[in-house]
Amino acid sequence: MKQLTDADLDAFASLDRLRALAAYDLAHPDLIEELDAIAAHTAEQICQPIALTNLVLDTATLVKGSYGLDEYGGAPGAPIEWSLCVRAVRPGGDCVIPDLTLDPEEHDNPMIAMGLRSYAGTPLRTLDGHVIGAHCVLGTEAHDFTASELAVLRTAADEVVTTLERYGRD
Amino acid sequence: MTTNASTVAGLTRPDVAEARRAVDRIYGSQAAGIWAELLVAAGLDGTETDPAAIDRLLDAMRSAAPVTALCGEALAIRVVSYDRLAQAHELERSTTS
Repeated sequence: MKQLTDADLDAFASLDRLRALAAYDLAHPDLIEELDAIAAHTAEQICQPIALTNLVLDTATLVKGSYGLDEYGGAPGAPIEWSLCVRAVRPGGDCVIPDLTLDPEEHDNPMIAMGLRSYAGTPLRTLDGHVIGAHCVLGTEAHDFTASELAVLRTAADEVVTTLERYGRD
Repeated sequence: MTTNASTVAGLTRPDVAEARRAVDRIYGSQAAGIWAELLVAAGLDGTETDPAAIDRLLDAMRSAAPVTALCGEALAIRVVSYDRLAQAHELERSTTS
């Protein structure tokens, strides 16, 4: 399991970053419907069974908009120790894990027992520069993600942020 | 994967003390006042260790200001994740014994 340092936990619990997240009306049904549609498009374009938007809170990730997740328990999120998207949010860059079973930080991740095997995620950066989560795809087989697949993911992540901005509480 | 009576895949079931640590980490010097308000709203004194106490506290957190509500949401996800995996491990143990 990945080891998170106090510095990591402090960064996830940053009041400014959480305020940026709390500025969105995250429970709005239309928002979730739009994020579901983006996830479905991402999964279709990259030909992977699961795509989702994960918002990284202080101690857990929160799924907001997904495709294909229901077959894997439809979890509302995951503890940050188990979250793969943390690995895109922590450095603020793309994260690719072609085979979870071979990854030193994830080889014992409970998600492997659910049948998940590969991951690619790209961070969601607000206009103010806060990294609030990641848009990602998950596969049930080992997969080397291509540059063009990552470009699709980045375009979708930009679309997610644009969509979130339209659902500000103010 | 580590499994014992209280830890599943490195996760301990959140309790009131863990919630206090989460509030402290987010709010720093402002945490004491926010924590006191949450305890009043939940009808707790902060020393409780039973599962019902964290349920009441999470209800209060999710009804509080937006950032506190997100903190409560995160803890609730940790509770659900822990319970699901602990149940799965228990089922696995019962079918193999």
